[in-house]
Amino acid sequence: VSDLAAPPRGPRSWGWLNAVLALLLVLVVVCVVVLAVQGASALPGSTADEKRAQEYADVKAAARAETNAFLTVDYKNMDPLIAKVLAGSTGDFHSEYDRAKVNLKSIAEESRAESQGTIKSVGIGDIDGNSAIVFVAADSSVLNKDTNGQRKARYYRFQLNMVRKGDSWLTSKLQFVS
Amino acid sequence: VNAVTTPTPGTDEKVCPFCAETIKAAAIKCRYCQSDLTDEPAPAVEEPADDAVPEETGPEEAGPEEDGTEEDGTEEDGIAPPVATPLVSAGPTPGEARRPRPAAGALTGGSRSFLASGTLAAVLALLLVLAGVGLALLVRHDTSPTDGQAPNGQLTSVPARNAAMAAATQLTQQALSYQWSSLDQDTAAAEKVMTPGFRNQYVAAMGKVHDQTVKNQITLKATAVASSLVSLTPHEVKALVFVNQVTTAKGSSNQRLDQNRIVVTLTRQDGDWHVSKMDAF
Repeated sequence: VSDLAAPPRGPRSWGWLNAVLALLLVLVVVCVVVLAVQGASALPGSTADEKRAQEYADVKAAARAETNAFLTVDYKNMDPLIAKVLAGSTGDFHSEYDRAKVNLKSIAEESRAESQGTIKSVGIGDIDGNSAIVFVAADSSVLNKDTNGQRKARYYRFQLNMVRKGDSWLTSKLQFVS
Repeated sequence: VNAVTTPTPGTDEKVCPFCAETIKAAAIKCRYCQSDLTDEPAPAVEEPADDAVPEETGPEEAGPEEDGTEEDGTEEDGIAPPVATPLVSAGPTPGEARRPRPAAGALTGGSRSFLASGTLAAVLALLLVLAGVGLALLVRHDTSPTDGQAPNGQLTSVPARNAAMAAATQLTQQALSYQWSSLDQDTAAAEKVMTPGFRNQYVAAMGKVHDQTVKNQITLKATAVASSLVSLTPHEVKALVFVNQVTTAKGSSNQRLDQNRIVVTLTRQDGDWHVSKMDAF
């Protein structure tokens, strides 16, 4: 084959190969850098450890939300507050609270009770894939007809038993730690 | 090979535009007529020289040239035109203008010939393999199932979490318990499992109650009724501990019960957990 009849093969094919190699090299180096900086979180999907760490965060957030809902009282507007507690609960706690809700509402209205919770700390005692025991330190400031118009501080130690239902963690038991 | 009988210039040769003699392509002065050839048109871009990869020239050029073009003896790789070259005319045309062959290979070949060379390909391939191995190692490390540590630093292994909780329970109880009869030993033992910073706070606090404790024969007994992890990394434990602290004084049948909520921070020193902070609220 004449080198005029056909395009010169050597240099052009090396150029292409080199361009492809250089591009691949840049891609791989970028991946290495990203992975070195961000660790496994940069990988698609998640490792077992990543899932567990996410589980810890989810459980704590759910316990925090449920405790907050439990400590929030406003005698003028009890229904949505009660509904919020029920939405975050399941099992025994759900049925007990559901049974008590009429009573709760009338007591709150009668005593003109208001309460706002503050979560101080949340810790996980025990956890597996589907259940957890969570401890919550919380305060609330309470105002009712017996507090003479002043907010009184209350201090609580809670134990919440949580179970996973689908994507969310629900409280199946809520008790004071004495 | 008909190179001996045809006047067609080889790939490293050209025809002098002044005297029509065949001369070296790199020549800037004709060796026959002494004409200055530096003003020749630049080689066409679309016809790059394959000089960096002489081994790519193919089997047709296997036979060495035997004509007089290598009289000066500086170059032996003069390449005869391929056998099937009826299209090539004897006279130079602009399209045939050859890029001057570099006198010393890649040194004067410019960046273009190196960029399109097998050497670069080999270097790139080697770097690619190295980077690929690095990437594979990182992926393997990050997906290792026995790691026990999440990317955010949190330890997820159950034994590590249980050990940390046990340490938090034990160290909190120890720091918050003492007996008037063994006060100095109790505090000395507690100081051993504290970081220097927290030890200073502890010593100052105990200094304030020391005399009263001995005088009133006071005993403090702290019991952790619940222990849980706020966070756990290889270097630090943050634990929420619910502590019942019972205070007993001599001659009093009354006991005082304090139900405390404590976040204790432990840090690792020489492989063991030490109390570095304690917040009661």
